[in-house]
Amino acid sequence: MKNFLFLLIAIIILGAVTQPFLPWWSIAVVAGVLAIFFSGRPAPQFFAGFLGVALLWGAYAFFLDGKNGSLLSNQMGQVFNGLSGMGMIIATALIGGFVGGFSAMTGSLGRRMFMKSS
Amino acid sequence: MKIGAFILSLLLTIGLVFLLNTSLPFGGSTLPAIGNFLSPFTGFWQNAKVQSNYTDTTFDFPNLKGKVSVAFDERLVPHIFADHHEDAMFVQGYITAQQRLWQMDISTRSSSGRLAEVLGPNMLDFDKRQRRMGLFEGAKNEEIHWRKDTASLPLVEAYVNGVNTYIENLNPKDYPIEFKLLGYQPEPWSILKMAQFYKSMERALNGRENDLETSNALQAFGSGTFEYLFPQRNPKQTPVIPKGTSWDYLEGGSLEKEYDIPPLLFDSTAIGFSVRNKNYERREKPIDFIGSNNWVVSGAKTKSGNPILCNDPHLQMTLPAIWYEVQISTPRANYYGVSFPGVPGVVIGFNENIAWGTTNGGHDVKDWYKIAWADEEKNHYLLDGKKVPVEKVVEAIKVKGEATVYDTVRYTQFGPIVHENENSPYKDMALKWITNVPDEDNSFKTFWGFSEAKNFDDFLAATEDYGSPNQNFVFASKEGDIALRISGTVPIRKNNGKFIQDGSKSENNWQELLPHDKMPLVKNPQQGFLSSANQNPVDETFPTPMPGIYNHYRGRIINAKLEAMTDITAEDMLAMQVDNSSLLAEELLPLLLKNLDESSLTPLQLGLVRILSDWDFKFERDAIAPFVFEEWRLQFYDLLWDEMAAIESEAPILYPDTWRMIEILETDPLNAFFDVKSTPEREGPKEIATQSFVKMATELKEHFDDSEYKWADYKSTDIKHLARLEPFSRMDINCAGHKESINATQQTAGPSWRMVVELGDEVKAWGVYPGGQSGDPASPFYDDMIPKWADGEYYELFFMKNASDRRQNVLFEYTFSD
Repeated sequence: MKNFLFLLIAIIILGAVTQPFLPWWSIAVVAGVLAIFFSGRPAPQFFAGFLGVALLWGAYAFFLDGKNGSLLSNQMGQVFNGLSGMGMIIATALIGGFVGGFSAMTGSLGRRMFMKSS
Repeated sequence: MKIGAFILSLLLTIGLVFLLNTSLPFGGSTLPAIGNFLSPFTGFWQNAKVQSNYTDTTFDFPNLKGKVSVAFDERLVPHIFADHHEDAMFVQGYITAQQRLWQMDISTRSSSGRLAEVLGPNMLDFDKRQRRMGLFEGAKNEEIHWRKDTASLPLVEAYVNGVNTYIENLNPKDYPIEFKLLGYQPEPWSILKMAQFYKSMERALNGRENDLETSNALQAFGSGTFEYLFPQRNPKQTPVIPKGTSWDYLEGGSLEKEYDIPPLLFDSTAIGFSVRNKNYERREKPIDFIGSNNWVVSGAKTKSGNPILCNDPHLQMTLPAIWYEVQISTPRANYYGVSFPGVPGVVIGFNENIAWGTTNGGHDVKDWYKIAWADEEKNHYLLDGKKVPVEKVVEAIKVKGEATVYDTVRYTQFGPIVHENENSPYKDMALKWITNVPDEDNSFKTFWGFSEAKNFDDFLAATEDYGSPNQNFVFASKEGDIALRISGTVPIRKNNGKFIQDGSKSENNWQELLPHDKMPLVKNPQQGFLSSANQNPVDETFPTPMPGIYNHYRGRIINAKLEAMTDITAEDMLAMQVDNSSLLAEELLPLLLKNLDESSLTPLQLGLVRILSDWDFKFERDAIAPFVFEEWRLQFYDLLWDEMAAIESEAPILYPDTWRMIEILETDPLNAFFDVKSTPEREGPKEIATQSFVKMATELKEHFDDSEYKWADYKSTDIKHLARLEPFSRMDINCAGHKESINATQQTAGPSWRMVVELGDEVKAWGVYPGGQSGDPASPFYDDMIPKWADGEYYELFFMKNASDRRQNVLFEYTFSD
């Protein structure tokens, strides 16, 4: 449980620091590499990665959307089959979440494989 | 086992990232890579930061000569105060790019046929058409010419530098939302791109011609009926230059002898002209007549004694809007008005001494020549009996995701062969078009000249530089002068370019261009006002014919109103600019009602008759009568001119003007055209009026049950996004107007800028346009002016006296220094 929280927080912090300067997919590397450092079973690691990136992306989107009064998200939602502005935030969080989750799970499986062989 | 799980998980992760990093097809278009697009650090969420630009900011750019301060007012209009003219242009470029970068990019791509490069193969046919008309070639020639003018070149270059400085400092995450959605990047701005923008305006405003339709009509009906249906002049029309204006200022007197213009003639057999073809490729349905109004009243007619100038150019209404409002103050002048995004200066506006406005001339400056080929490969054509080789220009059109397409265009001495398709009625015809004729004019200089003019002489001098598209420039000065100059380029040629011409004789080519100082001009007329609304420019006493396709109603209403008015105030002019009354309705409806046989009508239909009889001929948005009338008028017109529709199934054909239809209805009700050819009975105006009335009532049946359905719903005005993205468009605007009323608001076109300027000691001005200063859909300034525009209301423009003027609120300031 402790490692779950550590991994989650580490992903949020390292993601927030690196994402503004790196391509979007670098979040997969961040989640995957961090999962190697924190031991844990693949399933909780998946959820830590999922939540970490979903929270990071969702919260930042929510923050930007708030400053904009949802002017843009409401229009973008219409481009994407009639989603609402909040729907766009959720979609953002979900997409980020899955990338983070699978990456962390991969990292976790990699760690186990490495530990076993060494 | 563990290796297997790891590899599976790794592959799954890589696959997911790959999928999210790829553009995928979605509902006919391509979605951007979703991962990048949704990431709040790189994608569209970054565009929600737009308001962070709306705060005091200091910029340092070493290429500036001095300091520039910019105050943004409550509508985000920049007021640029610069110590150097070039710096003002640099900053205008920088700020315009900040607000309108994607619009600048897409409008120039569209003009020069470069859309497929970023939007894909769907746009290839469009691109080819633009290229084949010579628009890209024309822009390249324009650039070469502009570069020769050493006086204006530094200003033009400063603007380009301003735009490019903005682009260079732009992080991809801050690209305008459309670049992200469509998946491409902005490219550097250039003088060539400015020329491309000019070509797009020339395409829109120089494009009015119906040579083929006119030729077919003459061929189908013979000259007697042709002249009966399509008279040269509407006797009720009041030309742009008032009747009785002296042409003494034209040196050398009559031009007619000088140019020896032969009478109208068209001999179809001589050029083997026959376009009837059941499979013919129809031209896109021409959009309704789009025009503009401008007028000016002298101090003698106003309450304050100050001249008042008004202008509302009608264009396709789009988001982002075609205009960008700006005030520019340099040591040379302090001026305010609307500019084209991507082009330096102000196009319509005023300064501390004068005001100017413009409407389109509408003169016919586009001709088609039938080419006689000398060989089957179409590599040579016959000109005066000699074989002349065509010049081949290869247009290389880049296509997104596919190989570059090379399209060979044949150029003759008249111009390019635009259509090669066997079923095109324009096949084997060359296009001679003022838009692509290289000239020595420089329209930039005209607009800078206006901006810095102090009096009539300055204004007149500035019009001399003007090239195209032809415009009616109206003028007023604080000194009390009013004037109107028709400016641009009028070709002198046989048949006035009305018909398809024989391209095997060089004598049919344009012989000369009317010298600019011989273009019509009027100053301080007795009547105390001047106006233009795309009507016939001059009466028959003007020495040179100026054929064209002209409007027949707005000019008459404007002139009648101004004639009758005295003690005019600016408020009167604001109200007049949004006037919805229609002379067309006033003249046609009584005739239709007179001919209507009420004996066969149902009670509901009789109710419609009552609604129409009580109507004041105003196209107000919440009225019912306007849409009943409009539908009836269109049904009546279609039923009456069934003869044209029959021909149209095989060849493009000219339809009579509505004003002429009204004349015929009044004076010649027994005319055979009233007979509907497809029925055994012999119809007259009564039968046509009654049948079309019943048809109208049937067509509109469902709407009569809906008490909410009004004229605004029938007209259905839409302001569409330039990429037709529906969420970024504003549809079904609740607004009044009709194409033949002063407030000429139509379905997609309308008053693109309304401006009224009173030239008192302190210049006062009002304006509004259907859009907003920001081109960014995330900005509250994207569409903020639309409600006021739709309601016929105005903003008082903040014409700052100096950089520290705060009579109106300033939201934030930018400071630029070296």
